[in-house]
Amino acid sequence: MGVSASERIVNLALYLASAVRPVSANEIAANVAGYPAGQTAAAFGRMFERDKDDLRHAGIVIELDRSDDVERYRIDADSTFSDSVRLEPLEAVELRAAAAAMLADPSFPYPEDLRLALAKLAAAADGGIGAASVVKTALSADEDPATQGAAVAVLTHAIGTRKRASFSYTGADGRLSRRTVEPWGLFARDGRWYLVARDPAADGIRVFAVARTADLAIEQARPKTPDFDPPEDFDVRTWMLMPFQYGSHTSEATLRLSGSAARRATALVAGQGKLSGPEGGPYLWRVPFADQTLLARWIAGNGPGIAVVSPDSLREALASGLREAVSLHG
Amino acid sequence: MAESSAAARARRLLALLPFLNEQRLVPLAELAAAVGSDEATVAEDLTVLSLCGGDERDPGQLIGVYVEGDTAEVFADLPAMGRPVRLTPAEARALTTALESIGVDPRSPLLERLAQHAERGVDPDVVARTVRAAFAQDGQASVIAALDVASQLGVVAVIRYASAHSGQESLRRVHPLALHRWRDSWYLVADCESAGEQRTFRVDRITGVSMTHDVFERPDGTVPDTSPLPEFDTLPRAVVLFDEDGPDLNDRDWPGTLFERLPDGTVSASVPYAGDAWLARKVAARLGAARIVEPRSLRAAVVREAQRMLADSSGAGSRD
Repeated sequence: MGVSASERIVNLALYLASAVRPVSANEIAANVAGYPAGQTAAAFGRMFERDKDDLRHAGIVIELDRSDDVERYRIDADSTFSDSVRLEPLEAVELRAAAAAMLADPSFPYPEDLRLALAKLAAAADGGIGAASVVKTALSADEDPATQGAAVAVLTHAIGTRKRASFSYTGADGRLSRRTVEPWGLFARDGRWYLVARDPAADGIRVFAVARTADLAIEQARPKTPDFDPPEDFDVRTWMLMPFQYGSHTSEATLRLSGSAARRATALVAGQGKLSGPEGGPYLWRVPFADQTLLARWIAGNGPGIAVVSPDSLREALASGLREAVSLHG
Repeated sequence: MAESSAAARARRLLALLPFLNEQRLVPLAELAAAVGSDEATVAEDLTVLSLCGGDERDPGQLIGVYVEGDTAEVFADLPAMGRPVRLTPAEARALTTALESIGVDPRSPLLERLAQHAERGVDPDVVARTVRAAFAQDGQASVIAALDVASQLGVVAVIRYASAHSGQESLRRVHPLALHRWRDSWYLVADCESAGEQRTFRVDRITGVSMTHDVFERPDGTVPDTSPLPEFDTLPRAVVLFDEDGPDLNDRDWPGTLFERLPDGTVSASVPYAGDAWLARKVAARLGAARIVEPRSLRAAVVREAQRMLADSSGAGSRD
């Protein structure tokens, strides 16, 4: 009876876990079911390397031991095993709700990782933290959710391994072009996933809507050698701009958030600008903007409780626009 | 690069092992719930697992587990994978992303603690700055958790809810039925005692939750409506004229709307609407670049909304 790749990988993990001393490649080849008899050393080596990688992806780290001039292998217990995770009751409920939402969301890019993380936590924690919850549906990305989720999973791998990504991209103007970029970060917002990447052809950092990409491919040459290094201080949050912030010339506005806007302040400012004031508000929010009209519309659409402190031109644009709306409908 | 199915199954099998070590008879449903899979898949996984663990020529060394009916029976000690396995970087990232979806800050003590159980070398900052699922929204996680518990226990809750229109808060006694998520926002579907009907509440407008000692009975056989969008065919439509085309004139920002681009550059739109206030608010916020053509009865609502916005924008600076 043949042994499947899954069985072989599990066999390897169990063999190494139960070994009382480091074991050589020859011992592994001879004792772990699934490595073909009569395999050349080179073929075994390639298969073993792949299995080691797969085990690392499962959280089991294999260490090379050269203590007696012979290469032997053992499980790196410090990197593989952990003590039980203690969760407060509220934290367990939060985890359950979050997991239930994401597992119900076809656009979530890492469902398998989440399931296994929860399984490990459930095995380690008292009382279990299964995904049973009253969350019924969830959709982070509403355009082709499964396609976006799959693309984000691929791009996440490219970011982690620092490999270039190529894709066809339909710009906001409808034009189609082929891009090869250095992917740095990803974020989801308002039903879309976005990729932040350096575009060497444009010599600049660009934000791409994942829903507008097609024919995504990751650089396959030298898979274990990074193609680029993102800056140490890169923070994807600084690229999660609001609609009125896209543009080359920016000014700064100061808005006052009070009442219900103060209560929703963290969500409203979305990590942008600087929020100051006493706990509970009112707050002053200093925020860069590039398009005054769009900022004025944002204020009108997200109140009540948002007032312009400065600049005067923004306050006047908002007021005159609202007077115009009254005049048009009066 | 997508993980191969063999490697994915191996990960699942290794995650199942700790559960099998602890019990002799394990319901498949319990294992399926633990790994978020279905019973048939888990049964198949366990069959593979029963073939692991030793030399294929010596069946006595195989893992002693088999499936009978809806139960997995462990009839021999399993090889040692004693202690819980750490989280991998990918699993830490998945948890971070999921927790952000309910508003848990990526630098929260919970995530820091989970990161400690991630494989050595995982830098939580790297995970956090690489992928962000949503904007952290303070306070939502505890509200969602409380509503989840109230719903599961069937306990009547009192929520403090801020109106989108006026910002005024009111207290509502509700029977929480379901939570759902749509475009980074959370919604509660509940029977509202105050309104006498089922209502949907945006969670970021719930500023407080308290439990009562009263219980409610979940309506038999009814599935709460959590569809994110209404059925447009049943809604009235308004005709709205936009001064110019723009990237935000699309079906995502104006659900169910039919747009007609006119030769003079303006855009005529047939907009379904469930409430006057919603449409009046959206049109007023275009600041004169959109107007309602019909029904004319909606025009007064836009005037009222724009005047309220004017008063708010001039007065909010001196309130509180």
